[in-house]
Amino acid sequence: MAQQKKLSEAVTCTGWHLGALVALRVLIGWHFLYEGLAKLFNPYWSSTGYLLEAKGLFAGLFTSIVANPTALRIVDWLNIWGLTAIGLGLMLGFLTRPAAIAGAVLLVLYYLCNPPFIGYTYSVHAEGSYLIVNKNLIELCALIVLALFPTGRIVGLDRLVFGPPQQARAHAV
Amino acid sequence: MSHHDRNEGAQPEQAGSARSGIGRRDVLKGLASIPVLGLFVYGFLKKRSLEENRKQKILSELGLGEAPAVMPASAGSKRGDLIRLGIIGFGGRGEDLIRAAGFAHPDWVEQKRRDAEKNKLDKWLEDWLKQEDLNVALTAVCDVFDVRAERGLAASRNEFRPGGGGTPLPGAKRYRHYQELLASKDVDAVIIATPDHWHAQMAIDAAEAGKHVYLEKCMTRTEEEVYRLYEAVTRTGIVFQLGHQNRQQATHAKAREIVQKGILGPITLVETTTNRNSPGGAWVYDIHKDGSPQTIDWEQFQGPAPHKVPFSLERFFRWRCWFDYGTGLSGDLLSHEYDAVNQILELGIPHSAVASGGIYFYKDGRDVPDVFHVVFEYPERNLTLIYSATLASNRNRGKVFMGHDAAMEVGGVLTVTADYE
Repeated sequence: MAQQKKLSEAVTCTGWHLGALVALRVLIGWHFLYEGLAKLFNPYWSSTGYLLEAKGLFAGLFTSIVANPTALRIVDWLNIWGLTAIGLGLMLGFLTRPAAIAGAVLLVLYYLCNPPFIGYTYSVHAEGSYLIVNKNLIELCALIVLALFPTGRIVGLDRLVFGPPQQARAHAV
Repeated sequence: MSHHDRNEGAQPEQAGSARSGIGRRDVLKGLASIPVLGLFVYGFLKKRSLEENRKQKILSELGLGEAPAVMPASAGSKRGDLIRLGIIGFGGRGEDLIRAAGFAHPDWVEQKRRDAEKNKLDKWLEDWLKQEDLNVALTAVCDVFDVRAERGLAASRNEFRPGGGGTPLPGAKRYRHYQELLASKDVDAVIIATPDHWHAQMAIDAAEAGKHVYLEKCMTRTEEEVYRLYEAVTRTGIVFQLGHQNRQQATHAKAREIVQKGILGPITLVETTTNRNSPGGAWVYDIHKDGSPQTIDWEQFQGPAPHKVPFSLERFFRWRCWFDYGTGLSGDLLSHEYDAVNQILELGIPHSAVASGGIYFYKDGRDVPDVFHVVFEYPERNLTLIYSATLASNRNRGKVFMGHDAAMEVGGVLTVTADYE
């Protein structure tokens, strides 16, 4: 309780804070949505290559998906529509918290499938240089922040569907 | 209940509902990110149409279709009479060929079963079982090494096979000499999978005995033998099939299409290579522990070899390393590269050929070079074909067609790079 108080004393929520959180939400939403649609409209896309590159503790699990055509179809479908739905949710601020959590879960899977751990090399060349921390991990962390500070009920469709939160109403003047 | 929405002109709230007061401010804030979605949709459509236009423009300029290359069927679908096969030479390749015909040694089945258990992606056994039942029987096996002949017999009896319903197979009979096999009335056709030095004589003898023949490259060991074999096959009228790997490659068909459309411009240089770096790749095969003068019919093995030498396990198991039995890099591996280039360019016989090389790495008593190069000239086609091989480095140098307008690399994938100069 004491810590919670300290934080609220130190950080006063201003329009800038809100704006930054909404911008982060919309940008990550944009990224997810495009990743989903780009796969949807590419007839040759499949998660096979990515899954076959799997390394680390769960490598066996990821590669076994490729061995089973039904599982692979389901995973591909979930990927495409998961990314698209999460992207739309974040961008529009609809079901913001579930969208952020689902996005974080997806990124945990991506991170665990191709972890940038010391000693692991991948045949697909990464566009940057990574040591344990990669962009998946950062985006995952950003989504946790967004799940903890869901802005959809302030700026987003959640406001119309579920109504604005009490504090927002107080600040709304 | 307090009045949540303080906007002037707000809708009257409904009693008992906290969500009732949807005002102008709520609508504005609720839909605030819609313009971003609009921007996204605009960008998405623009990018897609640009990429699609660019792709279609390139394809139409080059006159290429998007469709993958169509591969011709390797065999007709009509089911004929049962063909009774005999195999002469049940070494590594012979065993592969007989397995492709539908007869696997139980050890192989067991090994593949274990592989599939360990690695779920290993579909080798599953794919093999799904193969079409070719309606052939394996009735005769001939090998000069007892262990291999026994393996052939075991494969012929294995009812675990594509289309097999668990009915026990009668199994093949072993023949000690290939002439006895050719004299058998239980054989309609033979697969010859011996070292190259035996190819011509056995195929000619099979033709004379009225047996149809499947034989793989290198068809003969010498040029002179080619004419004798050709004469025997045409005179007897048997069906003679010459097997060659990499004849069903989609990249070869697509490469041919690209060349015929003139996309590369005049091609003046073709470079093709072999790059191997392992004992197996250099034909240093394992010597079987049971190989001995007692288990190997050395005299029959030597047969038409130009030099007769005392019994040698190295020569028997690693015969590709000696010109007495094989053809070295030229017949063994250049043949594949030359055949691939021929499928794409239809080059035919060159005007001239110059070759050089040496034994620079595998100084194990062999007499075939392990580094070897050939330059073929085709003046009427205005091009040179270069083949370069090493058995002691496996950096991939690919198969490259150098055109005036673009270069094309052909392998598992096909890459065309425009020439900008």
